[in-house]
Amino acid sequence: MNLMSIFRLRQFGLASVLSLGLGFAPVSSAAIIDSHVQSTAELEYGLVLYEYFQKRFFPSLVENAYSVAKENTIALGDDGELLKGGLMLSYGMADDARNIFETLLEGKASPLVRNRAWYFLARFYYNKSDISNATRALSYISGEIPKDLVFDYYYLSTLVKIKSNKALSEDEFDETIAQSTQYPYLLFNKAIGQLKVGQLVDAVANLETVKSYVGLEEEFLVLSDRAKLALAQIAMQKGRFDQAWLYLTQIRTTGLYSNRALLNYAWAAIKVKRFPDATAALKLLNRRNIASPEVQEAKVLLAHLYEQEGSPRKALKANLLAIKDFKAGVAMVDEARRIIDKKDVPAEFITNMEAIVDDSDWHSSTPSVDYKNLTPFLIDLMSGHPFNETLRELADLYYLRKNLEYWLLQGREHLVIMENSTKKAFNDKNHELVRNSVKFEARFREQKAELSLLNLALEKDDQVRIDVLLASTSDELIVFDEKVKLFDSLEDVYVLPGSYRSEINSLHRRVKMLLQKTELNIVKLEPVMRQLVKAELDKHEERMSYYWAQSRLAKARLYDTTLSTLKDAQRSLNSEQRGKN
Amino acid sequence: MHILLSRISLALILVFAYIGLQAQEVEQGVDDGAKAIDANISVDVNEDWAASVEDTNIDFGRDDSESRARSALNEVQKISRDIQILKGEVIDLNKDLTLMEEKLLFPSSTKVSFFVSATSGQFFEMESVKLKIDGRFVATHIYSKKQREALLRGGVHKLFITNLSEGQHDIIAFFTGVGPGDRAYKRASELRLKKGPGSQYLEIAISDDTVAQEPTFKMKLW
Repeated sequence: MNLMSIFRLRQFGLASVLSLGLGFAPVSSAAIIDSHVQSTAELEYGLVLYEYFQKRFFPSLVENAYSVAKENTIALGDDGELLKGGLMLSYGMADDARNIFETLLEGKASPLVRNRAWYFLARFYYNKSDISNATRALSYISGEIPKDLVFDYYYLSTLVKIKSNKALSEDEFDETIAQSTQYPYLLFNKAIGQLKVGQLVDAVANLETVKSYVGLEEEFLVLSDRAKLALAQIAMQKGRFDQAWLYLTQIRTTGLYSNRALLNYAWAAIKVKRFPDATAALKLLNRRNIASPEVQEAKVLLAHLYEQEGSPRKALKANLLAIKDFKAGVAMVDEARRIIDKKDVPAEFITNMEAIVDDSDWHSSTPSVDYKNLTPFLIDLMSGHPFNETLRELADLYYLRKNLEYWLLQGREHLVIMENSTKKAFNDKNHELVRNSVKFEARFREQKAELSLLNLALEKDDQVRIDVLLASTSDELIVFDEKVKLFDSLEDVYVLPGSYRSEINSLHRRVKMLLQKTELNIVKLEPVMRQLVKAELDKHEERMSYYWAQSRLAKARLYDTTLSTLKDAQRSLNSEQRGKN
Repeated sequence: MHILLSRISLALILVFAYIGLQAQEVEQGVDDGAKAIDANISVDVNEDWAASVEDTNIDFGRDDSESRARSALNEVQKISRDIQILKGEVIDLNKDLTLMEEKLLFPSSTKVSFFVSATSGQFFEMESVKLKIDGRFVATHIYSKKQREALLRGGVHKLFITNLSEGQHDIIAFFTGVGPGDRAYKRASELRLKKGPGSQYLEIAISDDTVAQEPTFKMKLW
């Protein structure tokens, strides 16, 4: 039995694969295999896994609780507990998850289960920024690491070492892990760890390796861009602008890191005196959405570059366009502030977030989704831990509210079912009907026997035709006979026990109470989200106002220079005329 | 004086007219920007200017936004414990409600649950399944990519729950999807179910026959 499970660590923000070793084996033998399911317990527990593999943590936890209530042996075992802990950790129920792992570790769990539990505990502490306890938990992992957990273990281990400023050794990873498709992520982390402890040469070598991972998948192209950007920044910090420029030329001009890369490219080009290249990069940035800080800086820098290259007219025009853009940008921030104050915006923002992130490439074009005036300003914010935590908790609360509202509606239906059930009764009329049916059934059977005899007296061809009719009548008689027997054997109809009514009422009171609690938490959390969004918007406004003022100063200076040039020309013209006179 | 002013005005108009032309060039230049990155265009520039350029990043409102982020995180962490308890309570309530709903709708003597499982998936990519009981279509489900993957990793899908009386029932499941050679594939699987007393599980299992190089569909009563 070997069930593989996979979910991404949302906290890590990359394709980190985490698996739990329960269950059913993948099939490879060359034969017909009817099913991997070997028992009813596996069949029932499969529902937990079905939700879990789709990363639907809440339904999976509900299915798990249901399986436990049904005394499912897998759900009650160590593996089931381990999965439950992992699910809780992913669903933001960290404290309960920790209790489960600690209980498992106190018991006599197998080494594999213990290693998993320690890993999850380490992850719990890492997410809480408790690095010393995360380090301690990882140190307890020994012996065989479950195969599906190897990558995640090393990934977490590198993150913890980076946070605790510990050096990553050359033989940090198991040899087999180098074959993993996710290996570049480990190398990248290793390089960052090496940089932190001053191992520059090794760090650059590892980043160079990551840079070369350019498969077809967007995920690895992005990672490669990230490595190139890191290399360029190292080179720039060390004053090697030519080298930095070479790295930057390799980064794609669209994609997650393109804005930062283009701005760095412009600066590096300026440093190595490739001014036309700097201009081109800045022009490209200049056409992008003003919500990006890099675009804002590019507008001012482009005008400055024109001025410095001795093109005052181009510089003036660039400044005029920048002033116009910054004015529009500040107005956009005001609009965004107005939007976030609307009542249902946090809920709708979270509902639309998946679509927003999936459908829009913020870094290359104007977003074409709802809240387009709000969301471009929040791209940086969304990658931050506080905002992420707030959004996640809010999203969970909205989901709980939706779930409870559904049950509130179902509550009415439950009562209707109950009402109807109590009205059911096996009265005299029904008994009479059953008695009549028994008589009819006997009469039909006799008639069928008579018809069969009559049929024998007919011509051969006619007999064949009638046989078909008799056969179908016979089938219907069998069904009728079964039903008559069933009803005849019944003394009374099944009526739902009266105790169900009080159970239903009690459950519905719980639904209402929890709905109130959910609303209360939403009311507490929404202002926090608004506060974060507004702080981010303030930051944008402050930056744009600063650049706006710079552009206006530059414009005034350029006008001033033009006027004084004209005055000088006029004076020389006048003196020439006076000389002639 | 008037002549001087009119000359300056004329000069300014000419300057603005020229700027207008330049603006078109700027906008045109934007379109060619990406291409120009690799081109070596020679422009007469003051090569010493870059040394005087301030290229340090200014962190606008960083302190303020960091302090607001910290206070937000503190607030979230304060509420977090309550939310964790609430989540646990809602999960527990959902479990109780599910159990109650089952008791109301599907008494244990008549309850029959239909499950779909998939083992391997080399020869069949399932798109949908339809269920027919005693000549009537009772359930249909279209599988998303995520759901297919979940099935192949060992998950089991509960397709349908119903009440069936004791006795014989005809069950037919119809499958559509992509079969060997990426061709549209339709198959059906049939079972005459003898419903006994007590609740029953019926598994609709999809697996591969590697010898015949085609998928197999079977039903199993648990």
